[in-house]
Amino acid sequence: MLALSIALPAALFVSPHSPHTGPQEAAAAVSVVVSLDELVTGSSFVVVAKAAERQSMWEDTPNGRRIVTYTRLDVERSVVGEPGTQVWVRTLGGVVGDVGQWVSGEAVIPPGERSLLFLHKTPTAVVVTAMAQGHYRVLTEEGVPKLAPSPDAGTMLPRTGPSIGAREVLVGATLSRALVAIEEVKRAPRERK
Amino acid sequence: MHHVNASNRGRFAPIAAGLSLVAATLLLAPTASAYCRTTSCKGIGTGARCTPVRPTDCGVELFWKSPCVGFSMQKDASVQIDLDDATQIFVDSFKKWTDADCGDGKHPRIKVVNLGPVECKAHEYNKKAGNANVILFHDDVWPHAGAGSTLALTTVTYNVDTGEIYDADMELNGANVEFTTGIDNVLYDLPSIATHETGHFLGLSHSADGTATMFADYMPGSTELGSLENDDIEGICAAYPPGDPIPASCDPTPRRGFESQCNPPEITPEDGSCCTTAPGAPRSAGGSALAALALALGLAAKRRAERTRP
Repeated sequence: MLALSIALPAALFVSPHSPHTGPQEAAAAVSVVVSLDELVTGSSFVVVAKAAERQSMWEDTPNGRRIVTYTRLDVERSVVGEPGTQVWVRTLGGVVGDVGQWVSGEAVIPPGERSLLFLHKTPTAVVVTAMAQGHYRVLTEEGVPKLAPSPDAGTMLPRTGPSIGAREVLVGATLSRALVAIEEVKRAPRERK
Repeated sequence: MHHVNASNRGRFAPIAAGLSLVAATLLLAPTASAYCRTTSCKGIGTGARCTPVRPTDCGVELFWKSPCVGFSMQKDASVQIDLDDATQIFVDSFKKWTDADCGDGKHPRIKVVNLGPVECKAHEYNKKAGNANVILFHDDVWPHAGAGSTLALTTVTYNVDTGEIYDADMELNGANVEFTTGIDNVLYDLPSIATHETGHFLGLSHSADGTATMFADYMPGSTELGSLENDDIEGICAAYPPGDPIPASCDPTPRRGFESQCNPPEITPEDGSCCTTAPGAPRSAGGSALAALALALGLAAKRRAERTRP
């Protein structure tokens, strides 16, 4: 159980959506920032993958009929779990014909884009853990792959206590550094036993 | 009702308590006129256009075509907050936007009307049947990813070519979140969240102005988002410029008609021309929406009467 009575310095709460970097894409979900530990432990798979194709369709869900998008990921590297070389991921929203549906705070994974993804296997589909908070684009700057937030991360509530939000750890980090951090989280529960 | 309790909602409470210490400092972030509107970027998806312009701007702005738009609370509301209180919070939140001062005593040319409670407890957009722009709470199970981290989620359905909004539904995570509505012991202030979300409902995106209601980050323990700032007002006035008075006959009926039930039967008009009608055209010339409005007023009067009984 996390001890959450000590507030982190304000500087840690500067988000990727702060005035210094400007807002990203449109969003409307309100979420609490999740920690890297929560992302890793809540995921069946953590992968570095490239989105190969996507298909949007209307689908009946337990919570109504909505547009969903299935994106095929070509797995380049699996950090957690064994999803195989390809995995289809379902996200909410998309475009079917002339109708678009925007589900705020959901991960948006454009074809051709390379990402670090935290994935959760449900009985019916593989989804992105914690929606957009489990998706980090891999952008290459001066030959170095670095992580950027999902385009539509929504409204974020900062967290406090000794556990720092995953986005503070991952956004702006090099891919290699991020993978080391994930490996450390994987090892930590075993070391605590 | 100012403070609601639920044993399984403790996860968020300590976070809010600790953060209230720094919320005031963070809310004093640098300011700049920086409102953005949500857009449809063909071939990409949803994006934004901002003032001043950003390099990533794209697409056509989302907007409600009719100057009057209806919304409905799901009739069960929440174990945390009853239907009347929840409805009033969202009525007040919409009113903040529609009553914004655009200068010279003028207001945005948009009106949002409470069409009364609906049965359907799910997000739905029916392309060939009636609809409701529903606001609902999930008290038992959050049905989407991010159950432990998501407080609220809005789904907006729109025409990708024109940007016209067809439907907008809000879902609130009553299963995992402890909402508050008063000024004491504020945790997750529902009026603040409602005001922010209703801005999105009307087509606004996130602002870079750190003081704006539409700023991307909301601080737990704060009620600051409950009031609009200049940047918010500039945004809503740009989205719905003041103009001729909205006629009393303006029809807030959702696209294809007002529908209270989930999964309604498809409309099959006599001429077989379902769904070639103009976007926003009501199924029954507003009759069903007006009937629902009358029903809602009746229900409210009944509840008031019950409250005053000894």
